[in-house]
Amino acid sequence: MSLVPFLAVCIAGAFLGLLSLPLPRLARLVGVAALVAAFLTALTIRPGDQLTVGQVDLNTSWYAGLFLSTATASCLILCVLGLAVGWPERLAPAALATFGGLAVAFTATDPGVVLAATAASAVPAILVAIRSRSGPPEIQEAAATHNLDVALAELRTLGLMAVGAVIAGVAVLQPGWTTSDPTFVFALAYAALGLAIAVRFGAVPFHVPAARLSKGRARLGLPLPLVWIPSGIAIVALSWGGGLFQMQGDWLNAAGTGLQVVAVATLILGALGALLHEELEEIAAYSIIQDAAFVLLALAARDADAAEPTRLWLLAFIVAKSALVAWAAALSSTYGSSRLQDLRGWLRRSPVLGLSLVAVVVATLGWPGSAVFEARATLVRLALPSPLHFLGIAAVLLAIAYYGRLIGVGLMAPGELVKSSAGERPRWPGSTSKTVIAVAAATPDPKATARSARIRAARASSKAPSVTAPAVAEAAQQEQAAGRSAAVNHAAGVAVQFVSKASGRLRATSLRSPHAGVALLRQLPGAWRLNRTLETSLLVLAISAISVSIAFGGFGASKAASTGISLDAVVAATPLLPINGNGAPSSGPLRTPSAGPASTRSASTVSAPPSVAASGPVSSASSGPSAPLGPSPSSRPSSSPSSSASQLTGD
Amino acid sequence: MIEPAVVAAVVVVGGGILAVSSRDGRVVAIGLLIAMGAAPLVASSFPQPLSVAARIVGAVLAGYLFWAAASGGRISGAGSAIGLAAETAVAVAAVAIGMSVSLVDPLPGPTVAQAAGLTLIVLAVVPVFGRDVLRVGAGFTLLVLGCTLLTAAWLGETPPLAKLAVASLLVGIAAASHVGIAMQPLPGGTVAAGKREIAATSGIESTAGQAGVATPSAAGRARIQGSSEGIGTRRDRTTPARYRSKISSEQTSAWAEIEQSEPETPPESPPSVAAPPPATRIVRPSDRPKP
Repeated sequence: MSLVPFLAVCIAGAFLGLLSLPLPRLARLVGVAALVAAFLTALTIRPGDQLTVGQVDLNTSWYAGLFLSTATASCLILCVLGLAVGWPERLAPAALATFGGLAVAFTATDPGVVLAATAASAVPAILVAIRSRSGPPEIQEAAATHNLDVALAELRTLGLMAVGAVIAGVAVLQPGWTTSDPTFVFALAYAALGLAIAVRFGAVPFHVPAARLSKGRARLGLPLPLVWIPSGIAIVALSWGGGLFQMQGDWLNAAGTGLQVVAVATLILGALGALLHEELEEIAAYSIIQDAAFVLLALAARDADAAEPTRLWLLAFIVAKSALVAWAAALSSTYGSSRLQDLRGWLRRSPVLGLSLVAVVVATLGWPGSAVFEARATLVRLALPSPLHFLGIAAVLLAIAYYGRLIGVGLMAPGELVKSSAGERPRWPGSTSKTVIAVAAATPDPKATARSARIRAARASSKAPSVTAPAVAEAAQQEQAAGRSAAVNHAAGVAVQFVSKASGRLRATSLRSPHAGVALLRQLPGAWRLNRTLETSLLVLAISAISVSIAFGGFGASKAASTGISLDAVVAATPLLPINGNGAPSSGPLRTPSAGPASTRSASTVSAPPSVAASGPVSSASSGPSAPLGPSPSSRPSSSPSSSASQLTGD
Repeated sequence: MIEPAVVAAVVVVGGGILAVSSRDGRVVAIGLLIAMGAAPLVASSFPQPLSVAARIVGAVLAGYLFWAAASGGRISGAGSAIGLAAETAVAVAAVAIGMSVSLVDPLPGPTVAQAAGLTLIVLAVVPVFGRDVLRVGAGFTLLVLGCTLLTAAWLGETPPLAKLAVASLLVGIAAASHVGIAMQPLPGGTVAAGKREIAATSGIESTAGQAGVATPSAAGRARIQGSSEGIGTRRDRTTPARYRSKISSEQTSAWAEIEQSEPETPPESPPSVAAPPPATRIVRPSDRPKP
């Protein structure tokens, strides 16, 4: 039941966000509020909860909750950042719709529902991809041409995903195929899923739409179509990648080889693309593309051991790439340009952003022994033959090269654009730091002497007279009052007349001290606006720090990565049917899909223990296509609901 | 007696043929609505009412999205490259193949579902490779619909939540097509030229300047004026047909049109291709000579 609030918030937030789009202020308010609510409700998703909707069980898991929390947190931070650097139009409602669809996909126990929900969750990407047509006619015409290309690309990607998902669903549910080579059907499903993931991630050679997205004005919206949606699809595909697709066959091997080629090309050419491009958004997009190759490697591995490192990698990937996009948006907003040659010396003026970039690099690459590094190394080892294992090191070196290029440009002598910007230096209304001291001195401080406050304020007033004039006056009054009060304190035997006079002064002082505090408070909004750059940098640093923590197994990422989603248990318990025809023994189907209602099917499949996940499909892999492809009912261990629950909860 | 599943399959295929062969976007929307509405009924036994309701609601919503996009006048409908007869022939051939092949044994669903699904997939192949967003959207809708029909044939009945998810997917594809159509360049060249053309055809002048550029200030002025001229200035939307007919009828009466048409048509002018029919001299009662 803990899933219901999250789904309700996502649906309501998406609808309200879309309805409020014509009113920009309201759209921002609704978007941020809905994302906050979605994040909080995602945190409350308890592993092991069950909900039945439309005869299908929705079982929550530890990993599903963490994935949704991480994704909503990333989106929330990007949207809050967008309040300062440019609001990502339509991102919040589109992301909420996507997260709602992914929540159903991660928890449903029926493969048809999972795949249809996954495909449906990819629909909102078009909202982010399409550019707004407001502006002068030239921009409108360019946007119209861009939108036509983007709309066609998104429609085709969506259609490919939908068809691939339906094909995979049919193949995985395994009716009694009459074909002589059943691996052809599985290869078709495998290729369809792999193709859908490759196209959605923008893997080489399908990278043109992704590059077009980065050239558009998606900016902060870039993670939705390139990171969050394909990561969700990858998790669903991964449930089958380590199980049903493990069997050997010519068609499956050919599809696996094709996927390996695409993954290797993406691993190398993606990094080269990031190395050669000049625009920050394009560099970020190609960096995402390069790292997406590890997901393709996981699918190409067809090994159950690849599931856990991939899940961990995907969690780190989501936050780290969101942080990279946020970094690019913050940097280009600070200096007014996203061209690298205009940003020479950025690191000298924006050290916090530099620290954020280093954190992103650490979260993406890690170092030997760290969780994320081991995950990447494991995927390379499982997916590629031994002679190609050097590609893992090559990918790391290439990534260091393009990240190092960014840092190297930042360390150069500042260019004109960077010089003209104030960078992240803290500022106060009055534009001098001396003013800060003056205002601080003017505030009531029982330990400071009034005279020193007056001197500091007078010194500051010589540099910023307009701002510090009230401060000097306050200091003078404070000195006067403090002097009187000291006289009262130290001269106890003075005449009553003098005491009453001094107490009057004290009362006046106590009235004016809050006045100075109020004046200070009034300056805070101005100070907040003046330090927008620093605030955005700190926000980027925050998401980068989160990405480092998750990449090293923090926030329970390591534990969650070992659990998976509901579909893992379903696929693990799905018996492989014998093949009718071509001399294969027809002992009758173990499970006829139409034999009973779907609820029966779901209940029987979801309750299988995780151990079956390894034994069932692996045993079928060695049997060959002509033999019955699965263990007989008698050889299968009895299912146990408790073990399924423990798998989902990670206990 | 003909089974309901057979009738539903025929309707689905008919809707698919209509959707891929028509040039008019509205007919495409109607064809898709028919196909999507009848598809859940292609089953060996009548499905659960909840499932059918979900699919039909989704079909209506998706059909409306296509209809709304098509009625905006932005569609450069190329129609079918091979024509209605050829599309029908292709569909008949696909139905024959779908009825004869047996990929799954035993088949849990009806054979006509397999035939209809295969037919829709075949019909959708050509449109998905074009550059007309409406046709691409219609093609992918038919493709997904065909795959769901194959699923119904090969796997039998699916749970209601799966039907709801499929309905959401179809609505999503329709919505994506709608957004893509709304954002594509207007027919007739540039956006500004398209706006001028729309303004000319609808009889409404844009209040945003000569180039028809939509600016917030112009739109604000239009709102302040409170006149119907504000329509179509801010949003890139063509004037609906009801506004066009209403405005033209409000501008002139039938008598005034007849009177105005006479002096504007010089007797020496050569007859044009789309020349209006010759105005008949109508004698008003007041014009009759008094005895």
